[in-house]
Amino acid sequence: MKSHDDSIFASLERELRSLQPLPPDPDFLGKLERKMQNAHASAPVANNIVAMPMDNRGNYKPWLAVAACAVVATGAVAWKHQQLTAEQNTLAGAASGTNQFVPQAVSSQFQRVHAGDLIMDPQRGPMRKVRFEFNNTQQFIDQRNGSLMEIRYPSQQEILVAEPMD
Amino acid sequence: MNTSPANSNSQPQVSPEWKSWFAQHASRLLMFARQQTRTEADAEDVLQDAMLRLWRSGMIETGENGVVEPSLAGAFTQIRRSAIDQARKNIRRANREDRALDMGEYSDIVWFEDSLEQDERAAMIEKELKALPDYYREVVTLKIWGDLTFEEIAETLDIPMNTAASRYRYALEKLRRSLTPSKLL
Repeated sequence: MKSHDDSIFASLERELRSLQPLPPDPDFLGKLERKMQNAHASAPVANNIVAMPMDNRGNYKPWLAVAACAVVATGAVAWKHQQLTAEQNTLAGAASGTNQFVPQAVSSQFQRVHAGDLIMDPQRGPMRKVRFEFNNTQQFIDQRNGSLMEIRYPSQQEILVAEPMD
Repeated sequence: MNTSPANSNSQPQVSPEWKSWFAQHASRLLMFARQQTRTEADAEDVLQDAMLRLWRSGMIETGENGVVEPSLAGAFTQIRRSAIDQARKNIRRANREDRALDMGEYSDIVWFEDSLEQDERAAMIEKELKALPDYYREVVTLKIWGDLTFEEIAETLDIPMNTAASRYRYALEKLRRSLTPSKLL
């Protein structure tokens, strides 16, 4: 029964997907471009896509937050790495070399930033929840055969950024 | 959206990458904007505002091909927020002018290409889709035409992922029933 339902839904989904949303007016992109070019007051987060204009100071707080977050995240990863190394060394010593995986490298790559809900802080005014997502990689060497083991895991950090009152 | 430091004293230029991203997704983004508004002009205003917000918020992500691009889920989120803001402004304006805000159906906004007169079935689907409650329709739109995962839909609409998935299933069930002649059910 469930598979019958699923096949009916699949067919309905196919039918829905076959409908193409009506594209915007051809002039729309031009209008949008002009709006964006006129929007000097702010700029996106620094990354491969964006270079922040020097005269753009209006919306600097999110940028500071991004930088602070990157520093905190990097620091946290480095701290974890040190802690892990110390633990591994201790374990290795205690077990007389029975622990064959030795930490080799740690990296954390920024993946995505997500602007969340607005909350009202009585002291600081409207604050936006901003969540940063990272992809982390830890490498270990197997002392027995020299092979490399890699562990990847996502992590995220949420901070509050003052919302510009424009 | 790229601004070149070399010409920081002149107008910032919209990058080809951003234009290409927008050209690829404009139809589905505008469709979502149409569903959140009552007129085509409002939908375009909302989409325009949302794209500006997206640019300012810096909501970007690394795609499967490794290219850093604006976040599609983020774009839908901004459209929703812009539409809510616009609706509030409309309500304020309506109150000022002491007249009722037209909160009727989607009137003459067309959502799909070659619909209505040209394809009876497509017109029927569009009609039934418009008749769905908002909270069902937006999940279907984000899933089918937005290509978002349930996790992304949950983030965009600020609802639990299970709720997004169950709304989607209920919506399809409702659509199926309304699109199937009763004797075949």
